[in-house]
Amino acid sequence: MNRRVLALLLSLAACANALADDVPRWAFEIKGGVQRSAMAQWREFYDDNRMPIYAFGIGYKPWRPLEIGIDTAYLQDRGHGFAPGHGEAAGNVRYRLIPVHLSLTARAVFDEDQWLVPYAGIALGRYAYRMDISGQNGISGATNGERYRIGLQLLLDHIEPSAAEGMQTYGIDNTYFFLEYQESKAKIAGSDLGGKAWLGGLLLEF
Amino acid sequence: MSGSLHRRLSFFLFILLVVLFPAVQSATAALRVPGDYRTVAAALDAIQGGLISEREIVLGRGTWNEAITLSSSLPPGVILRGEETARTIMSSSITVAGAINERISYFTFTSSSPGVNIESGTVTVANNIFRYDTGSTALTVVSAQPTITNNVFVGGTAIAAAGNVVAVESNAFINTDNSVRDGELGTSISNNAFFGVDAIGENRVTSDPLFVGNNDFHLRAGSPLIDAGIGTDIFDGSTADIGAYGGEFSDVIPQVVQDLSVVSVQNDGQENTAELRWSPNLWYLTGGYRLYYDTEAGAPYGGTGIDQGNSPIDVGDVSSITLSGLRNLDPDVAQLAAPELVRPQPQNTALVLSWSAVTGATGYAVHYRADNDADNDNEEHTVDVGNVLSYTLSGLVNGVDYHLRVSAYAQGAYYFVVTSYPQFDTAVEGEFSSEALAPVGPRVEGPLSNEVVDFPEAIEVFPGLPDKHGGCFIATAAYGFYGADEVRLLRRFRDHYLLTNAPGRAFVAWYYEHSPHWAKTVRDTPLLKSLVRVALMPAIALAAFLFYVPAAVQGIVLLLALLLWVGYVACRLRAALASMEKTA
Repeated sequence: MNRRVLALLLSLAACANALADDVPRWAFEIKGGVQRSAMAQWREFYDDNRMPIYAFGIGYKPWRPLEIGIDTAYLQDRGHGFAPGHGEAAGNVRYRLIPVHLSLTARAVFDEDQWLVPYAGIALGRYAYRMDISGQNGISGATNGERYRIGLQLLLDHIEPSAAEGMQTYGIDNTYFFLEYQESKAKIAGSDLGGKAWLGGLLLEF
Repeated sequence: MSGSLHRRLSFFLFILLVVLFPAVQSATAALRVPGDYRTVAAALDAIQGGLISEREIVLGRGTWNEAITLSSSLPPGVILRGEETARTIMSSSITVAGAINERISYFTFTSSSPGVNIESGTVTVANNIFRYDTGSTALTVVSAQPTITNNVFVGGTAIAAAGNVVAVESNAFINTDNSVRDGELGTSISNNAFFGVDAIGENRVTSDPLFVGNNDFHLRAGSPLIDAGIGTDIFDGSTADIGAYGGEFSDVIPQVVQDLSVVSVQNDGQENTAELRWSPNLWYLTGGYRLYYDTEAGAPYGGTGIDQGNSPIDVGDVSSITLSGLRNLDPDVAQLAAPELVRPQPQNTALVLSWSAVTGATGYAVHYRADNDADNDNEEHTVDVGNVLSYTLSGLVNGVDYHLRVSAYAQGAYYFVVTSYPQFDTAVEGEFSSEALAPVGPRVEGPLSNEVVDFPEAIEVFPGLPDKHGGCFIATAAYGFYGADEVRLLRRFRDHYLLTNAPGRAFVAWYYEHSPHWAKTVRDTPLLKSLVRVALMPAIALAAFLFYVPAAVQGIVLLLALLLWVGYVACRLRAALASMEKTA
């Protein structure tokens, strides 16, 4: 049994090495943007429906157009609570959300020198939340969620060839700028922690 | 005649001397900005135009945003310096473009990158502090021969030199990205200190510099930077210290004394004794402290008459003192107005109060009384909150109404500040510390403000998410989420009717201990969820009745219920009596 597992691992490693000769195997992306909450009431407590989102992730390409990855993000918003007995806004509240996703992304790469690459992906994730309230105990917990994304990436290597060559000396084959649209859902106790997000960032393939 | 002429000439010369002496003296003094000129540019224009002979410009304490250029049209030897290194903040850039033999000293550079940009000319950058974030640059050298000595660089790239000869001596580099980047460093990089960055050059010091604090770069006793620089210290003639407070141009003004407070005031009849304390100044050259006092707030602190002497009192190298002979003082006002208390902000077990200022008041007191607090104690409590206009009254019981008022008071007081002076020159003195006061004598109480009645309560948040550390209660499980109207109503019932009495609190404690386990069962069983909702209906109806039905209607309903019950009992009794009579 152990020999079979070893043989399988060696085969996968050999396959990965074979890929490495021709195409990049790994991808690292860092991005930032704005997410609009899925909850319409959000603006009543946090002034508007938007909150900043910062994210990064790493992926592995078993096949050039397909990428399996893990990514995480950080979202934060500040607003106020509600005093039910007084029927008015009261207290200061800080909301933070950290989702972690396992993702599958398809990138339409037909040529390593292709300028524009559209892509789409799905992901399942765990969404950890925390709410700090002035003068009383905070609330924290986690729930499961899902995310869909589409985007378009622009190959920067043609725009700055000398920089691209410099990057290649560090093992980075391609550098892309990308714009991305995401939709996420993470339902818990009648609320949805997800939303619609627009992000921009850099993708490094190596 | 000749005697008379001689007398007249002597008188004329005397007058000339009297008139001219201040002018000659002022020619050697520095130009102050603001003061002599509104802007640095105006002072530089005056020097450049040759109208005045001064060569030194002193920028006052504060934050400066004026971009400054020292150009080649200036005469040689211009000195541009701050009044005090730590408290003259330069948030724009100083550019040196061709000027000769200038010196830039006593600034703390922040924000603008680079802080000093030396394009050409000869300049000494000495005794400054550069505080920058990673990625920023403190000082750039394009084409010049500067001497960079006795500065402290914190964060960012300290010196970016491009193909020039630079002398870098007696500086401290603390957690910088690098110390000197690029450049043909033909001359001395020597006797510098490096902490959290790679060390370069001769005679380098790499151990903990032992600064007084994160923002105070004076050296503590035992610092390895003491006497480790190049040249001599202006203050004691010893080998120069490394850093912003060493060398021949060093700023010798001690830092402001921190944390002055009046620990206690004892009244002994007509006189009082007060104990004062402050944080010691840890600069290794601190010589002692000077205490100023007065019976009125603010400078000049010319107080007299206490046992330790008139203001200022040289108290030596100590960090506390007991003062005696402080006489009782009458307050400045005979009568005070009532403040106006505005509606408080509710918080969990607290109310945030704020009120209007009263002329002549030296403090305020908050008076509060619970309608029915946890111990059925309806006494009025008073808290002296000092001279503030807002106060958070905490430790209250949620849901209980509190009757709140504020009053002002006035009382005479002695006001104190402390300065420190260095060992080498007791005439050099730091700025005043923040003021502390010791109230003495009778107090004039003002009338109470308007009464405000309000209650504290737990703040609800949106979205109403469950908490992994709590809130797994049966009602939450049955209704699906923490923010459900029914759950909120039950929480309010808990705060208002259960947490306000001992049996209620005991029940809540018991419920909190056992309910998480039951709640899990309820959450996992749909049938049980429905049953629990039905079971909770009477409690929710009762809570809604108590919170939303007007008191008059509540009274009528209770009266009707009582009448119905009495009627029912009467009917049953009559039926029982009839049955007994029938049997008999």
